[in-house]
Parts: sequence; structure tokens; C-alpha cells
Amino acid sequence: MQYPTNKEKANKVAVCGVLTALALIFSYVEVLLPLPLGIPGIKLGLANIVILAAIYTVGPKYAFSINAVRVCMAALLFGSVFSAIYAMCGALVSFAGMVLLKKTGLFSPAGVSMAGGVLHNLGQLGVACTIMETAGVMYYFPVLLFSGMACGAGIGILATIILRRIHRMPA
Amino acid sequence: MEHKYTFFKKADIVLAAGLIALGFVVLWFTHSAQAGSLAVVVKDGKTIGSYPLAIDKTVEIDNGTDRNVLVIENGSARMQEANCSGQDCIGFGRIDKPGQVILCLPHKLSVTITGEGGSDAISY
Ligand SMILES: [Zn+2]
Repeated sequence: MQYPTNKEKANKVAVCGVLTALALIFSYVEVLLPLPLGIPGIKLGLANIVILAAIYTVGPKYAFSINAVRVCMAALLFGSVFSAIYAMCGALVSFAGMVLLKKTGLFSPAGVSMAGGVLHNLGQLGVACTIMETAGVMYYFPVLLFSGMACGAGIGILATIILRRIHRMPA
Repeated sequence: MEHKYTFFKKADIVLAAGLIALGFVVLWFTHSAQAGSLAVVVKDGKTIGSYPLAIDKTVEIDNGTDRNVLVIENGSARMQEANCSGQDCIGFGRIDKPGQVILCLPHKLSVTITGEGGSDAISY
């Protein structure tokens, strides 16, 4: 009985490694494709395809590690210390929200992703509010909310298509 | 593990409708139509200056390490130059409506447009 579980674990760890690499590539592509919304720093959230797929396949615990490694490495490779704090808060809020929504069992992956996109942007807005000590940042709340929804839902639909294809994968 | 991944469920639609409603409510509160009149510069949580948009002016904010150059011309404000990492503040472009903000996060600097005397602006 010991052997198969070990093998299963090794399998999972290997899958996580591949997913982390994939998420990092998406993070990089994202840096190359900024959204022209008049606010610097809004991203498509492409890496969330991988994080979402990970939550549904290998589970939230592994997905969290993938996300944490992804954010740290992306900050080291393509960003500054400053953008890292920003990105981490967005990623944390978004991840927590997505896991909670998934747990309720009421939402589809696309719905979970939509909420994740919104929370990611609003998490970053919260950081900006705190750092700047001004609520004036709220001017950008609607743009961030709507762009987060649109991107999150789009990413979620892509993730759903992917999940349908890989759900036979050993989990 | 027979998952059926549906694209959208009822709860998703309800959540989306709620978010859209919230977005419009905030939009309604924050985006008033009239043009603003003052650019208020706040650094490290303290207001360091307000400049009328009607008067063309170049404002240099320099404390020895952090440098930002704010340009006010033709009734709008924009960040022309900065020595911050990322240069995001320059990317905000021109702002002229009450509530609009230029942020320079690395320098803890914000430029906010307020209406007449700042009475109808979002409070700090
Ligand atoms: Zn700046």
C-alpha cells in the first residue's frame, strides 16, 4: 500500500513543477501585453488559467505553492521589489476568494475565475490606497472591477475548456 | 472524480449581476461630469501643494532622492518625468476630472484633481 501512494505523490509534485513553469511563462507573456486602460499595472491574469486548473486538479494546497512560487519568481525576473508587494497582495486576495467560492460548490470555474480577477485588481487597489493614504484611488475602482470581471471570466472559460480535456489526468 | 465542468451556473450570473451593479454605483459616486479645478499633490500622506489647472505650470517635486516633474497645461495635469522604478506614474497620462488620480507608488506620491475648492472631491 505504501508504494502506490508514494508514486502518486511523486506524480503530483512533477505535475506541480510543470504547472509552475507554465504559470511563469504566462506571467512573462502578461508583462509583454499590458492593457491600455489608462491605468498602469492592469494585467490580463493569464497565469490564473494555470492556478485555476491547479485548484481543480491537484487541489488548493498545491495550487497555493504553485502560485506563491510563480509570484516570487515573476517579481525576481520581470519586476521590482515594489511590484512584488503589489502583485503578492493581489494574488493572495484573489486566491483566497477563489478557493472559498469553489468550496461553496455553487460556482463554475468561470465564475470562480471571474471573482478571482475582480479580487486580484481590488486587492492591488487596496494596497495602493494603504500606501498612498488616500481614498482618491477609488476613482479607478469601477474600471478595475469591470476589467477584472471581463478578464477573469474570459480566462475562466479557457480554463474550463482545459479542465474538460485534462480531467482524466491522475490527480 | 467525474467532474462536469459547466461554463456558467446560476450563482455565477447572480454574482456577475451584483458586481456590475456595485461597479455602476461606485461609478455614479466617483465620476461627476464637471471639469476639475485644482491638482492636489500629496506626498507621504501630507498635502504639499495645490495648483489651479487654469494656470500652466511645471511643478518639480524633489526631496533629494525622489524626483517627479508634474506639468499643468491646457487645463490638465500629467507627470512628465520621474526617477521611480517602473515609471508607472507617467503612464497615467493627462488627468482633468474630479477624483482622477496620478499615482507614483514607489515615491508615495499622488496627484488628485478636485472640484471647486475641493468641497465635492473624495476626501482623503
Ligand atoms: Zn512614479
